[in-house]
Amino acid sequence: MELIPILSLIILVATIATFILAVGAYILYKIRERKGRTGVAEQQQFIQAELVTPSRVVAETRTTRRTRTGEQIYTRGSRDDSGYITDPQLRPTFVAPRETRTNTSRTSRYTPPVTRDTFEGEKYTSAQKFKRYTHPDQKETKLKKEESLKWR
Amino acid sequence: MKKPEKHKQPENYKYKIEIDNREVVPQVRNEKKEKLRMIFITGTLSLLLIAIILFTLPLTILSWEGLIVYASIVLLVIFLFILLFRYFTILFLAYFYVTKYTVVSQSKFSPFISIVIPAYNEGVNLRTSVESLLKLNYSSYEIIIVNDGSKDNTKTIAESLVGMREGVSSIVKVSLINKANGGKAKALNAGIQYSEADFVVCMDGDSVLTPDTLKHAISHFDDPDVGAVAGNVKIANRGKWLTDLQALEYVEGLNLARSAQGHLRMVNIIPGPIGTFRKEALRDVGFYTSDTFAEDADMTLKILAVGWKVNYEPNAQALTEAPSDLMQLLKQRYRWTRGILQAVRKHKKHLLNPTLNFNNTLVLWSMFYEALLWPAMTIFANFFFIFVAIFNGMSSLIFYWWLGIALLDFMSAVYSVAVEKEEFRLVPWAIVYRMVFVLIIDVTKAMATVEEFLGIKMEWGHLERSGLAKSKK
Repeated sequence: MELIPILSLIILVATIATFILAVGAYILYKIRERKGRTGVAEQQQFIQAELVTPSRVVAETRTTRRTRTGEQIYTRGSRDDSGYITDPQLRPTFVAPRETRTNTSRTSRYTPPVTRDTFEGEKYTSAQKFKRYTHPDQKETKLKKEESLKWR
Repeated sequence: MKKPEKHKQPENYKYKIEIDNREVVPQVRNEKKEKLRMIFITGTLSLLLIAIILFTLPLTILSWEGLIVYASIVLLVIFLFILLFRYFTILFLAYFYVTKYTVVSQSKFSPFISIVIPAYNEGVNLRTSVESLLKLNYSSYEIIIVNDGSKDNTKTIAESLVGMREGVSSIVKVSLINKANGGKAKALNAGIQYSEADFVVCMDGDSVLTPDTLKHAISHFDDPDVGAVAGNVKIANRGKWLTDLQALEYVEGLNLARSAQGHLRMVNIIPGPIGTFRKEALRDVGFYTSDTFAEDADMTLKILAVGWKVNYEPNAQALTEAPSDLMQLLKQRYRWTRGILQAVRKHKKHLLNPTLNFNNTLVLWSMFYEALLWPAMTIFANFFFIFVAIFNGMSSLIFYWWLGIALLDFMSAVYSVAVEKEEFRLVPWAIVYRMVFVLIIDVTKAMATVEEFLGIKMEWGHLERSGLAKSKK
C-alpha cells in the first residue's frame, strides 16, 4: 500500500479529532465560566490602602538632616495606638483638601478628554508633536497642569 | 577591640494611604448604535456581493458548485501567499535585528529603577519572584509589591519580604501596598504612583527575571525617543506536552515576531511579565486603564500613538508559569483575544486614518490580522481540506497542506531556537504545532472574536498556579 494515502488518512482523522476537541473544550470552558460569574463593583475615585515600607516617607518626616554627601537622614517618629502613622498623608496625595479635588482633577492628566477619546499626543499638530518636550510654551502648559498634583 | 554590632533588620513602617483610583476613560460607546451600523454595513456589502454574483454568473461557464470550489481555491492561494510573506518578512526582519543587535555596543546608562509587582493570589510564586529580583545584576533599584486584595496568603508573604533586603549588587528597598481588589491595571497604577524612579519595570507576580534583565533593558533608554522596552518571555514550567508547545510558541511565534517588530522599533505588545517604561511616556498616555482585558496591548498602542518608540530586548528575560491544562490555556487565550480586539477597537481611529500616525496604523492592522483574519483563515483551510477529502475523495491534499505548513514551522523553529539558544528538543514539536496546537487555539480565538463582536460580557478570571519553585525542581 502507498504511504501518502495512509498519511493523508492519519492527518485527516487527526484534524477532525482536533476540531472536535477544540470545540468541545471551548464549550466546556464556557459552561465552567458561567458558573462563577459575579457582578462588577463600582470603582471609587480614591481608595484607602496600606503601605508597608522599611523607611519613612518624605512627606511624613518632621526632622531631617543631611550628611556631607547630601544624603537625607530621617528620624523616627511616634506611632499611634493602632500601629499606623496617620498624619500627614503619604504620597501620592493631593495638596488641595478633598472638597477642592473635583476642580483640580480637571487639570490633571487623569481627566478623561471632554470632546473625544484622544491621548495627549494627538492634540498636537505633527509639527508641535516633536517639540512637545522642548518647546517652552508646551513645557509651561505641562507645568501648569501638574501644579495641582504632588507626587511625593 | 570592639566587636562589630550584629545587623538588625529594623521594624517596618505602616501607613494609611489614599490612592488615586481614576483612569483616563474613552468616550462612552453607544453599543446599540454600533451594532446597528455593523449590521447595516455587513448586510449591504453581502447583498451587493450576491447581486454581483447573480448578474455575472450566467456570463461565465461556472455552476454554483464550481463557483464555491473556485472561490475556495483562490482564497487558499491568497492565504498561502500571505502566510509565506508573513513568515519570510518576520524571519528577515528578525535576522536584521539580531545582526544589528550583536554589533551595537551596550550603553553605561544606569538610572534608578522601580520594579512594580502586582499580585493577586500569587502566594505560591511571590517569594520566588522577589528573590529573583534580589539577584539582579544592577545597582540601583527598588521593589514595590502591590497586593491587589488577594484572598490567599499573598499579604503575609509580601509583608515578610518588606525591608531593606540584601541584593547581589546593593541593598534593595522592598515596599508593599495593600489595596482592595481593583484589577491589574489599577494595581500597576498604584505601584507607579508610589515609585520614585524615572523608569519603571512592570512585571507579573508569577514571573522570575534573569540577572542581567535590568542592565540590558535600561540601556535602550539612552535614546530619548524610546518610551518603553519589551522583554523576552520564556516558559518556566516545561516538561508537559502542552507547556512544551507553549515554550515553542513563545520562541517561534511571539519572540521571533517581536524581534522583527524590534527592528522597526514598534513592538505591538509589551508583555505583561516584563516591560520597562519611561515614566514620562506613562504620564503622557495617562497610565494603565482597565477598560480592556489586555492592558499591556492597550498601553503599548497608547505609547506608540503618542509618538514614542517601543524597542525589544531579547536579553531582558522573564520566566513565567504557563497554563498546564487545556482549560486554563483556553481561558488565557480567550482573554488575550478579546483584550486585543478591545484595544484595537479603542484605537480604531488610528486603524482607519494612517495620517495620524502611520506606524500605529501599521501595527494595528497587523494585530487585527493576527487576532482575526489569521485564525479565520486557518479554520477555513482545515474545513476545506476535510470537506474535499470526505466528499471529493481528494484526501492527499490535506497531507500536502500539512507537510508545507510543518516544513515552514520546522524551519522557523530551528532558526529561532538557534538564535535564542533555547532547548533543541523543542524543535520536533513544530511538526504538530500548527495542525494541533494552533488549531485548538484558533477555534477559541474565533469564538472569542464572535463573542466580542456580539458584545457578550466577560470576566478577567484568574489562572491557577502550581508554583515556579516547584516547576524548577
